[in-house]
Amino acid sequence: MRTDDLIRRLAADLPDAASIAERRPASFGLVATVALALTIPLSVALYGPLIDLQRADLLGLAFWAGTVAVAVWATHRLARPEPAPILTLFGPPAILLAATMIMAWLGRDGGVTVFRTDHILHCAEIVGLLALGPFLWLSFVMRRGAPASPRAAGAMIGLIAGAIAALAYTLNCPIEDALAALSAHTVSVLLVSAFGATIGPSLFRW
Amino acid sequence: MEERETRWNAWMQSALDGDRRAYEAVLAAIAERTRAYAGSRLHRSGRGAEEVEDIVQDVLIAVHTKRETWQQGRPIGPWVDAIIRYKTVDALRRFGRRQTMVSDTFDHVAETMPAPAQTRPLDLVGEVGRHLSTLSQRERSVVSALGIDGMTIAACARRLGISEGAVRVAFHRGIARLAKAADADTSATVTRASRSLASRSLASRSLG
Repeated sequence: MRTDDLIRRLAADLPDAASIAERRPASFGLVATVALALTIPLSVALYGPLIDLQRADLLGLAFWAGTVAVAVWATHRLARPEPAPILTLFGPPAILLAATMIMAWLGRDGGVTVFRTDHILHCAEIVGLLALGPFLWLSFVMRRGAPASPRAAGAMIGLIAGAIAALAYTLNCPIEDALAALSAHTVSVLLVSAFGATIGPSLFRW
Repeated sequence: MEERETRWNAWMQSALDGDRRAYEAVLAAIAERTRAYAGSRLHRSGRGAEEVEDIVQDVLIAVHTKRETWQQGRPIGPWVDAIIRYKTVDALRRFGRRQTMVSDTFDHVAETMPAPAQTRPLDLVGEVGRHLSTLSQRERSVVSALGIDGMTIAACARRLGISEGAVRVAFHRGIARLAKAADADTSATVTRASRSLASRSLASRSLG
């Protein structure tokens, strides 16, 4: 087909303004909120009643809520084909990396063993399972976008899904020390994000 | 540059309000810009005008199918340029992969085999037909009706006795499978022919 003919056909396929508005993708924030609202009861149903919230646990909840918020903001930018600012690409992972270093430092000073292998294996399995639903829903929205970097988009979707799962599981996690729990959850979230980065190029290619 | 931005922005804005003439104008301008960019990139890698035109059409289809990712009020230039860049790099990667696959697979027999005759249109139809045979009955019927016979979705739905939605679903699945089969094929000519059918058909149908 000649390009001029293609242009005419595409123009003929242009729907009216109302139809275009209907095609607008759902907001990642809205989907993340719904995913969180569904993941918390799922976590309670699978892993028992909520634990008593201590001050440090509230810190964990706030940390994951903040991570979700920052990652959702970044994902909105990554879903469009325009070049994303460096902060968008590296901001959320940098926050997690900084948190990891702070945890390691605090753990050493406070005599708490952080990043314990048994904790990580336990939490990674559960966070990975809980992140599955949010990952699929968010991926569905991302597939309607046009990310200039499908790998970065996949990593960020994994980060949101993992953070949602960690937020939900913080309410049930049996690890007594909050810092030890947070460190295990951080590694779990990074693993989900790495999974997203791995399948992003094939999942979000357009 | 600012003048272009203002003009394209106004065209796209009107297009999103349903103005088809404005849409044709902005698509033609985007085609021109893609031709210049992709032409310079492909020229360096020894590719011809046909491949450039493939990229131009890929870009136009991407602009059409992803137009809602442009946020009204934001500059349109960077959005268009990003799509052009993405599609050009994607095409270059595809061309490179095919070239590697062909040379990796056939280098050792190159000296003993006669040079292939120039591919005739009939050969292309035959090869595309071979890919079509990998589709399910319904997908094959729909892809043939829309992509080869040029039927409308409504007419195809009436002919096959299924809903228009079912036609769209079968068409999209068929095209995706066809493109995958074409990508897996080691023949660059066949790949191009099948992908060409896929992308043209995709563009020529109602995608809403």
